[in-house]
Amino acid sequence: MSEPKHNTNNSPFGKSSGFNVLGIGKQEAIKYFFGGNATLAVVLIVLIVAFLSYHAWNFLPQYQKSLTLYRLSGQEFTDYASDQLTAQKELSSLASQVPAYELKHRLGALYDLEAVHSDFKNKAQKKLIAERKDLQRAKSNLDKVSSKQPAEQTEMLAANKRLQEATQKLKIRAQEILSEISYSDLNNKSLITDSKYLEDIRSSVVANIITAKTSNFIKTTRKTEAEKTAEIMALPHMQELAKARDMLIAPQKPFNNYLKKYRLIASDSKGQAETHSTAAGRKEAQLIKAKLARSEQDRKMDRIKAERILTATPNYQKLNEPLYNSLDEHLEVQNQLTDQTGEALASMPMASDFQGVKARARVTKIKDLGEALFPLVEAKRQRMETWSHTQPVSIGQSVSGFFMGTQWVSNSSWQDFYGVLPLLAGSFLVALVAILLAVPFAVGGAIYVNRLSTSFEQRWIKPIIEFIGAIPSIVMAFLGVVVVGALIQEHSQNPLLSWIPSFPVEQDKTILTAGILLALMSIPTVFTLAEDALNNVPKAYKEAALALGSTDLQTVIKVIIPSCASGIIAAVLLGFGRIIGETMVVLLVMGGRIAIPESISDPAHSMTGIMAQEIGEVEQGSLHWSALFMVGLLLFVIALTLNYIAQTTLRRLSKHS
Amino acid sequence: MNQQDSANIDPTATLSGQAVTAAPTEAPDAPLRQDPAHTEHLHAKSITENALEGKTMIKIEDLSFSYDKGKTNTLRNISLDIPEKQVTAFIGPSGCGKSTLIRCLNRMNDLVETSCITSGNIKIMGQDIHAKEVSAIELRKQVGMVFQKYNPFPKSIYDNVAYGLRIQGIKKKSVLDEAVERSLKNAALWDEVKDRLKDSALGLSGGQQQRLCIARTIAVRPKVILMDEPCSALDPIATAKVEELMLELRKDFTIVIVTHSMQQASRISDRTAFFYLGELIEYGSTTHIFTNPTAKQTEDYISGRFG
Repeated sequence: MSEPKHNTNNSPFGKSSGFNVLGIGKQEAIKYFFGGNATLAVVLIVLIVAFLSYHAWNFLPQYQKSLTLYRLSGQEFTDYASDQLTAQKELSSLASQVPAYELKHRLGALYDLEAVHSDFKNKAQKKLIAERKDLQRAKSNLDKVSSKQPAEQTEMLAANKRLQEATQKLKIRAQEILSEISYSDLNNKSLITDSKYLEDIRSSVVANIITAKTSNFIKTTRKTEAEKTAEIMALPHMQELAKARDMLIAPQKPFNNYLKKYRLIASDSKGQAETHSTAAGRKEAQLIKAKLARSEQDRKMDRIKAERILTATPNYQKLNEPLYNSLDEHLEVQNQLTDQTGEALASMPMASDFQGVKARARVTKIKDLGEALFPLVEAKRQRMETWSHTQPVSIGQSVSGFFMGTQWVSNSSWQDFYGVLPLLAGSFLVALVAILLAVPFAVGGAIYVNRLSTSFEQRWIKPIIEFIGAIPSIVMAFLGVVVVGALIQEHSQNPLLSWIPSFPVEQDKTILTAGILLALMSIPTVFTLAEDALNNVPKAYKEAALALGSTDLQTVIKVIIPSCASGIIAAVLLGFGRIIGETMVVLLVMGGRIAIPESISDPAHSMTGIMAQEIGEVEQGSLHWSALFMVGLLLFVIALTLNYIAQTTLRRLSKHS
Repeated sequence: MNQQDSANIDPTATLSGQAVTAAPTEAPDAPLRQDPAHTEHLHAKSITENALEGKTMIKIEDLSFSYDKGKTNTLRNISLDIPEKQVTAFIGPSGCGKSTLIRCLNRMNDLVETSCITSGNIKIMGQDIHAKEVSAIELRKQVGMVFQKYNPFPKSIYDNVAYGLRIQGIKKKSVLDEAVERSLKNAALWDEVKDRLKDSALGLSGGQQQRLCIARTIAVRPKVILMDEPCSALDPIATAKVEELMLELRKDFTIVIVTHSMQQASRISDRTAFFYLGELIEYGSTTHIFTNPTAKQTEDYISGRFG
């Protein structure tokens, strides 16, 4: 309209010409461009789902096939028995750990004295390299001189003097260095120390470095330690424990023999089954090769080779016959096991007899596990009795095997299991710990910055918190490996903190460590979103509340937070989603133990971690490969659900105000 | 700006350097009240002009106020006395400082960090409200405020009215129930909402929400109610209801109202102050201001020649 001279028609309201391709004007082009971008995002989501599903879809039938073989070969049968033994062995291994912990507690600093001594020595020797070399040279010099025939008096004297000087120098330097080393320099912070031994250890180390002989101090220490150890071991409850432990171990041997025998048979059947399933393919390939062979002789050879490949289905009935017949034998070893275990548990000393916290915890655990053992053994026996190799494995079992399975075992020579439960539990538990730790800081920080701080503080705090989000996750993971884990392990020993569940922590790489780091990483996300939610609260609410005589704090707690609660909840949910998808920290800091964690001080593995760790070394298209994609798909669904819930909550908020 | 009518100076009014004209103390001349703003409805209410001689509730002395640490003064040398249990209206064109002044009265301007009083003081019930020992929180419990845009909290009707009492630590249900009912009745809202006290306040109509805000304010029994253009977001019917309510409330409360509507000022207020560019031009009885303004600017403004 503005430039009528370019108009082809003379209507006063005609479209202005100008940019026009295929009848699409400038405005439309811009509109389509943005529309296209929006569509692309939707298409990408669909493509991601399609891609994940494409790689994962094969998992369930493949897993079903694998489980079928597992049953046909009789491995399942022997694993029932194996489970019984594993559960019982847990008791004996706990019982073996108890004496060491009890000794350590009762002996105190004496128990770790030698360890401290050698730690000090290593530290000092690293700094004394030059002096020790000098001493070495002086010694060899003396040897050389004294071996000369005839020995020259002056040379001997000089050599002796040199040796003395070198020794003296080393001694002085060693004393200097050792006086600077103290208990706080120890690498292993869990060692027990006592200041009364410090001077003795120092001088003993000096002597040891110079003479390279066991010092008297160490000798006497060893002697007293041995005496006291004997004394403690002779205590009635320690004796009882030792007896109970032996009783636990004794029936393991016959049971193990039984297992070995039949596992071998099952393993052999599995080999035949596997050979059979691949043989057909190989035979075909051999025949093709025979066809293409150049000489008559080669062709003949290949054909013979092809014929030699057995494609007959193994006779599973016959293969499994020994297993069915072994039930009586199993009952015998099982009864031995349960009888002796029962006896051992009955003669187990009380937990209160032990002084060490860790020893006591283990004794308690033995009793708890012991009670659960007998029903488990019984249930497994039941399964063995009703077991039949012909019973088909349904696809439902494959589904529940994945979602409810408690084992994730890959690349096993025995049988692979892909149960996602330990990973799921690890991921959720660490995310829960992280979010519980992060929310007070993030939401509290957001409230403070948004409502209570001065503008100066606001200018500084906000960018700093948001900067945490820019720290690469691998750096966070390093921080966890080097600093946070050790710090928690060390300080959790403090008796003042023993009220915290699962304290004291016995390892440095645990769910708690990873949770703390993830909390740190999720704080910026939750903080920023919560602050946005607070910002969206109309200013009028604040004015109204203040005009009624509220204090700042009353305004925030009674008016501001309730009116943006759903925004804060959405922020927390999105933070949770951020954490559950985080990989590096959980991979490096959580310990990588694939088992359902019992407490937050256990190491665990995660869904993201397992994918990152295993996808690189898996054959494309294999069962393991598709299992990893199943995990990916599950993770994607979880993240999507969390996001969806967060968005609905937010929408409810905007409808409300 | 001359003070030709010195015989009529209100003894409570303080003269500012330039511009305060006195309020006449005698009864109004009935025939004079014929400006178009007057409606039948309000004649019936018949503002009693002899009430003008009330006890002084708020005393503003030579007040200058700045939003930017004293660089420029938004309000300059304002002096006026607001009597108890009357309606005092502040009128004037946009940007004249009337809202700023009313927000000074309960120290809502404290929210602007760079604001400050550059001279003078405000005394409410004889106490300088900017004195060190005065807590803004306690002041605001005595000096309530109703805002231009109704702003009930996103809570139930009941919780809105009870809020002011709850933050004072009153938890007893019977006390709260009684206060809520009384306040809603005072605000002429009880009959409309008594069956849905637990419903969200945001579901009410605009006029109801504004009356709810008034109920919320009077629930804490303040001495003074400040109203910053309370009807500007309401339709004429809701406005009429709120105005009626104000006339009712003036029996118990001292009301200061900022309004853009001169008709409204003339309908409901006992006294009117006219501001222009941060200065108080004229202050006196509403009748006097609207019928016989002293200053030229006042006359121009109320006759619609500018503003």
